[in-house]
Amino acid sequence: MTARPRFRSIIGSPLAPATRGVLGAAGVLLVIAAYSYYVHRHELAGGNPRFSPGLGQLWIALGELTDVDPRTGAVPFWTDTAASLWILARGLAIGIAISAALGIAMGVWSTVHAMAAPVVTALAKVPPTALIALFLVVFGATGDGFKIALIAFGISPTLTLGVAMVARAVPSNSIVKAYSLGASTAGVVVKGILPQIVPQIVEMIRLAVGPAWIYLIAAEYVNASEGIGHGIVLSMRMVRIDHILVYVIWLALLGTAIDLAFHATSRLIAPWAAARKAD
Amino acid sequence: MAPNHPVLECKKLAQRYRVRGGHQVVFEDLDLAIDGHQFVSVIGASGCGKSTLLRLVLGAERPWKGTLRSCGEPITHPDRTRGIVFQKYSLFPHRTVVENVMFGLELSRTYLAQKWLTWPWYRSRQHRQFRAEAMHRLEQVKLHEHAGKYPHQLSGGMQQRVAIAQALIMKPRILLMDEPFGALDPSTRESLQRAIVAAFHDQQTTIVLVTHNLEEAVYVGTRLLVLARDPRTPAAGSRIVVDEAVRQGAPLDAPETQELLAHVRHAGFTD
Repeated sequence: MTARPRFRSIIGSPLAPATRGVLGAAGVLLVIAAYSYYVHRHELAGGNPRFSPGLGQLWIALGELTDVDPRTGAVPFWTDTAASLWILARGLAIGIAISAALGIAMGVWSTVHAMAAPVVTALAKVPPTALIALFLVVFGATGDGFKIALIAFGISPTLTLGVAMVARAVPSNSIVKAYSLGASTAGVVVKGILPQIVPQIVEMIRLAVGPAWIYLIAAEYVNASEGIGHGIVLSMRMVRIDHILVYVIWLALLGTAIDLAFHATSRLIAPWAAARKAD
Repeated sequence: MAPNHPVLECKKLAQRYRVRGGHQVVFEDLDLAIDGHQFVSVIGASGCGKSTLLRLVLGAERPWKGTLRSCGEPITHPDRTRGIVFQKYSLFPHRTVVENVMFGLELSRTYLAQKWLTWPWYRSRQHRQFRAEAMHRLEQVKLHEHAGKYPHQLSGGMQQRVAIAQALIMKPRILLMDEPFGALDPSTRESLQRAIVAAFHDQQTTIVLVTHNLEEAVYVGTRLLVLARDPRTPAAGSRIVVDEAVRQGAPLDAPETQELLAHVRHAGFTD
């Protein structure tokens, strides 16, 4: 009987999809198991279950949170979610519009880059949460204005620099080629450069969604009458750790869903980018 | 386009680059005229300025001194009268093969104006014609079966074939090629050399091909230019040390070819 040679898998070797799925599920189960163990130990030590709600308690908490509010006839959990998403969407839209326009201009025209890069780089170093006080005054404490502004301001500088970097990285050969095929300057930008960098821009927007949530929740902590951050603040006041944890899990799920949506969009509008190897 | 102007004319052309502590002259007082249906191979050691010359002709950089004219018109920027095939990044990654070939046609001003003015009722008959023309070009290079693929799905040799079709569909006065086959394996390289020679005869276009491969230069060209720096005066930049007519496609072992190769090597080109 000959021994089958044992292959060592080297770093970077791909996995079968089934293996990936199993490992992913195992990761989730591991976290749940670790948490359950923590809850169990806490219980044995005689701790207050209020501060370490088990899985069952979390389930009940979800039920409580999704109960209809008899005063308004609505479910606050859903209205909070809708309110937060609506602010997030507007903040992201404004931030992305500013970043895409300025970033592409910076990427295409060296003069714009030379002028804007120092300012934008410095702005990117300002922690946006430091501006909550300012935005409260400028955009008003009531309403969504200051939250939208905080998100837009929070994500734009970094996103702008990223878009500019990607646009500048388009090979100059590609640009010269477009000119030699008769493109005008606008044609080179719109048909030659832009479509090439769209997948990378979408990727950067995906990364910007995380910070956008931070600014949103921070703003809602400060001042809000609805929204997920507001819900968490209320739970905190009543020391409902179980409610807070449900919100946190909900945030994780929402974030993942948004991430997947961006990923799918990217594949839809740039099918060529998915399979393209880096060269 | 006045009839008595050469397709390409360089007078007293000079270029230099900024380096640390001053300037490096690439070449100075370069005079060159290319007229009619010629296939000019430009050859030289790396750093002799052959790619610089190509970029100047293309209009992608501006000369330090001297003038550049194509059919009497000064060259100020890259335009559709001069096509280019690079060694890399000639194709647009977001366009399929056929879309890459028809890209130049779609960029024509009249077509764009028509398209935008009639939007959204625009139903393009012209677009179908463009596609048909691109498909015809692809058939000529035997790539019509790959029309729907993206460039990254093709081999290097196929990509260069597409790039050549993409440039030639614009019917440029001059087709410029910067080491187009440099990254290919020998057999692919040979078949592409034959393809470009065939295209040269079909299209009646002038071709300027930059290469560092002497055999390639002699095989495809009808005229051979050798750029070299005089080792005794390295600061002065390169000169054209050989400018000879070549019999295109002559076998490499023919005595006249061997003689030419020896002459070129003697005149300054050493591998």
